[in-house]
This record gives sequence, C-alpha cells and structure tokens, in this order.
Amino acid sequence: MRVAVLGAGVIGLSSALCIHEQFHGLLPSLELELYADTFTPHTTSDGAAGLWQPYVRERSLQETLWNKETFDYLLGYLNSAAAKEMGLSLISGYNLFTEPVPDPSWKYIVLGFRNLTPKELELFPGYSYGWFNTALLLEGRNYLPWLTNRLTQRGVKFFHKKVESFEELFSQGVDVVINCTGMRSGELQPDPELQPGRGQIIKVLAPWMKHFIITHNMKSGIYNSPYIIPGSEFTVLGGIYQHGNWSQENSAQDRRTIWDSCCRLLPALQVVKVVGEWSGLRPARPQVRLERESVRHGNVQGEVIHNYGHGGFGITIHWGCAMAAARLFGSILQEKRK
Amino acid sequence: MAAPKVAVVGAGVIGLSTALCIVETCPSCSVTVLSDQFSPNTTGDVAAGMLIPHMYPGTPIHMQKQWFKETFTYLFAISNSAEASEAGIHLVSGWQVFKSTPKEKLPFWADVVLGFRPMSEAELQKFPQHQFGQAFTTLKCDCPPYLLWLEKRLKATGVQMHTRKVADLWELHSEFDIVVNCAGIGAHQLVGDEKLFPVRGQVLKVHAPWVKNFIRDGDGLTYIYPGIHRVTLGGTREKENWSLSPDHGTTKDILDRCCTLEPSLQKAQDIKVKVGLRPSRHCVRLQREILSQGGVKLLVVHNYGHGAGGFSVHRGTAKEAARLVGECIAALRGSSSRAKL
Repeated sequence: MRVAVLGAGVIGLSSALCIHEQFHGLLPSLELELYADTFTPHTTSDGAAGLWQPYVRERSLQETLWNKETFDYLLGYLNSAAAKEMGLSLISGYNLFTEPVPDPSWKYIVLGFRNLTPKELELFPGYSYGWFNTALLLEGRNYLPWLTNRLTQRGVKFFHKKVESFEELFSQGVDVVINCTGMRSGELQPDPELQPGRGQIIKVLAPWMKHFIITHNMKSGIYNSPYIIPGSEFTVLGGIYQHGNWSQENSAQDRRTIWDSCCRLLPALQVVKVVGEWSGLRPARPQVRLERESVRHGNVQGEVIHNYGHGGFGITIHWGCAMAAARLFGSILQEKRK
Repeated sequence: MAAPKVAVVGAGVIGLSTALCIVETCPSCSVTVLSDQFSPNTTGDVAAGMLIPHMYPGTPIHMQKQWFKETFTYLFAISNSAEASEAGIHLVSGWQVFKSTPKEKLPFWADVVLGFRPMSEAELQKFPQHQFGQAFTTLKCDCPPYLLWLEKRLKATGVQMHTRKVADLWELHSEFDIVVNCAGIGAHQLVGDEKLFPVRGQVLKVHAPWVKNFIRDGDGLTYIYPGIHRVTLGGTREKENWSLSPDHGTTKDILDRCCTLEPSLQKAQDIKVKVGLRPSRHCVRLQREILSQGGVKLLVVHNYGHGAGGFSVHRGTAKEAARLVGECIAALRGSSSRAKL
C-alpha cells in the first residue's frame, strides 16, 4: 500500500507521522512517501511565530475540537525530554480589546484563562478589556525538523519534487494521496474558497519580553492589529492580514505599519535590533478542507484525503487534523479489505 | 549651613536606590556613594531580583506591605516606559507551587502583584508532586542592567561614586555631615552588628531562553526565574555560612531539583555558578543613630539587613532612609542655628 503525502509544512509532516504511527504496525506493506518542493526552513509554518491560539470567534465546533486535541496532545509532551528539540514551551500573555467581548471557545482549553484586572489594563492604554492565559509555543523552525527526524527514523522517504497532479502519482502506483499542499492546493485542484491571507512580520531581539501580546480590532479583523510574540531566539512583531494578496515580497508600508503600531503598544520596542523580516500567505478558507475524494482520470484512479486551508491557525489545529486524516485513511483501508 | 554632604556606604541595590531617593527628596544635598564593590560584584547581582517578598519576623506586616507596594509601583512604571529594557525591569508570570497545601493561602502581598489567584487543576497537572499552587504576574529586576541604570541616573544628577573600602564609619566624619550605611552583609564588620548573619545562596545562571514562566516551590528553596538573557536556578539557604566559593555538589542538587519542576532544563546550556550572602536579620535595620566619640557627633542612617527580600522592598526602604536623612538635616540645621546664638 503506497501512500504519498504532499507538502512538508506542519500539516504534511504531522499527517504523515500520525498515519505512520497508527498504521505501520497493522499494515506491514505500508510504504509512506512525502513529496514537496519546499522544506523547512522555507515553509509557511516556519515563518509563523508558533503560538497556539485559535481565532477569537469560533468558526465551527469541529475545528474547536481539533484545536483542543492538538493542545492536549502537545501538553503531554511538555515535560518530556523531547520538548526543547520540538520547539515546545509554555508561554503566558495578553489578548487586548477596545470593548468587552464574549469568552472564546478555547477558554477551557488553555491554562488559567481569566479576564485582565484594571491594574493590568494600565499597561495597555487604549485597550479597556482583555484576557490573560497560558498557552503553548510550538516553533516551526524546531518542530518541522523534529517531525522530519521522526519520519526519517521510521523509514519514510522524502522526495524534493513538485507534483503536478494527483493522476501523476496514481499512474505510478500510489494508492492514496494525502493532500497537505496548503496555499498552493489550487495548483492541484482549483478551489475558489482557498484564498491567501497575506501576513508580514518583523523579527527583533527583545529578550526581556516574556509574554505574548495580541491586540484585536473587531472591525478590521483578525491579525490586522499589532501583536508581539516572543520566541526562544527572537520576538515576532506582526499585525497584517490581507485577504486575496498573493505577494510574498516584504512591503515597506506594512513594515512601517507593524513597527509604528507595535512601538505604540510597547514603547520599549523602539530601541530593539531588527534581525529579519518575512512575509507569507496564510492558506485561508471558510472551513478547513478535510475530506476524502475519489479521483479518476481515464483508467487511473485513487483516493485523495484533502487536509488544507488552515489559515492562520495551522500549528494550533495540526494534530487534530492529522488524527482526522488518519481516521479517513483507516476507512479507506477498511473498504479495500472488503 | 552649606549643602549637606551625605555619604552613602554601599553600592548594591540598597545603596544606589537610597542615594537616588536622597537626591530626589533633597536636591541641595551633595551625595557621594562609597563602596568597595560595584555591579556586577554586589550581592544583588547574584540574586534573580524577583519581586516576591520575604517575611521579616521583626517588622510589622503593614510596613512590609507598604515597602513592597511602593517598590512594585515604582518598578511597574519603569517596566511600562521606554526605559524598560535599559533598566532591566520586566514583567514575568508564573507559579508558586506547594507540595502540601499551606496554612496561609493568601500572602500579604497577593493584592500587590498582578492577577494573583489559585492555580487550576489543569495547571497543577504540570507539577505532579505538588498539591496546591498560586499563579501571578510580578516584576523582575535584572542585574547588572538595573544597577547600572541606577548608577547612570545618579551620575546624571552629579552624584560622585568612588571605589573605597570604608573600614569604620568614623573615617568619614571630617568629609561628610551624614553617613548612610547601606553596607549589606558588610555591616557585620563595619558596625559590628552581631544580629546580622549571612544566609548563603548558591544559584546557577543558565542559557534556556525557551523558559518564559517562573516556577517557585513554596518552600523558597527551589526556583526558576527567567531573566533577560539567563534563567536563574536556585537555590540554597545556608545560615551562618560565609563561603563565597561555589560548591559542586550543590550545583548538581540545584539542577536536579529544578529539572524536576521543569524537565526541559536538562537541555540548559552554559551553566554559570554564583554565590551570594543574603544580609539577614530579624528585621531590616532602618533607623537613625547618633554616634559620639570624644565630643564629636556623627549622624548615621542605617539601611541594611534586607536578607532575601532586598529587591522586593528596596525602593520602600530607600524612601524611608531618605526621610530619615531629611530628619538628620533638620537636626543639623537646628543645632547649627543654636550654635550661632
């Protein structure tokens, strides 16, 4: 049974690992291959700060459950010897609003969720309401290599190759394709619901920062308000979300927007050293596409499991989706046995 | 009377903050800081600088709380300003965990720190050996940055700072009108205070930048305090131990205890071992004294003996010391006008 995973971002690597972990023992003939033209540290997942946090407004119960599954799974690794290598750590911080908002779907998933006290709000002039909680940081630049190592140890083969079509693989004898191609899924199969949510970030050195600070402007939408997320080696400043913008060039105007708004939020940032800049495309979709599809082209056919469209919460939701993809794979296996 | 000449003995966190308070409350004073040690070689440089108060058995609680509140408020304003990173002051959140539920679940400082509350069951899962805990956000004064920032502020106001070992306060009587004794553990020898004793603390300063929350065992012996560049792992509390040499067995023990609380510390790099002697006392000695020798008087203000709580109350005690200096100046002016009659 040949299975090809397409895409080597957090979704592709974790789906591959999840499927291999669950089925390798049951199916000795399982051959898992991973195809991608982009690997760490150049994937979308590598650019993200890596904070586990879903959107403020719940999109669906299904996605909330996948988010929870991911958080609990990662929490289990927190005290393990692998945590540091995985890029996994606890981080506390602030979500800030200009008006009261309902509690998020994830208030009981994260640790120690509470509202901000008046004294704490003094730190953030212009914001009158907010939350404090402890969440997880999972840095892609560590997590992706860790996943890659786990897969390599398991004998999964990697191919640096751009796959042009599902049929290409089926005609070579692949039985199941797991499509984790993120932003570029449209190249394999047009999907008008998949749109880029362009983001840009500035990487700075601000080692005294121990909390994340995420502001929200309910009118301008998610990620269009400044955020500051300290990582293990640098701090990410962001606050750009441009729906429909495919450019991956760093924009000087966006840089100014990020810089000005973050320095207004935290004056101490004015003196920090900038160590990098990056822009990337969040693979935005009204809901994650996680479903099976039988693909037939002439006399070539095969099963595709789609797992893409995770927007700005890929890291947050990845393991729940990987498990769901594995379940879909299980149902394919079951059908093949009949 | 000409501008009063004030000598502050000691350039640790107490000496520098006291000198600054004196300058703030008495701009006409001429203040000089004298110390045999400056940052990075003071006791405070070894400490993590966390604002978590230590209990002084001999000081009324309301006084300790006031000192803490004044210190917290002062540093909170700095942490919120553009100077935060230069001053080394930053907020840090975390947990204090207890192996058995303490009698006192609400310490006197609970409403001074931010967001103080008991830990949830889910949070306690991370600490299988601990039954109870408290979560809060407090401030940390990273040293050397904080001490260097205080030195910079002092120099900007014209305060002189000299490296000088003062063996006896009387050495200073001809040059200065008032002496402020912030000699910390040095007061044992300087003024012969037998009630002052060292509590030796060994700590490790390690590179572990992924650790962003503090963890403190309620017994106060084991703690993990993330600073700007390094995480301070502690510690020990050895009464009457004057040794400043690191102990290898202790290093291993601290690492074991901290790794039990935070397993990822097994990957900590570049471990630096430091030792400091907490200048411990039943209560902080914060009082005026008039020394007399052969008809000559020397006005002294003592501000030492902060033990494990120096950072937590430093600004509060510095302000009180400055107030006492003010009383000394008034007394000097009173006696000099009497002398004229």
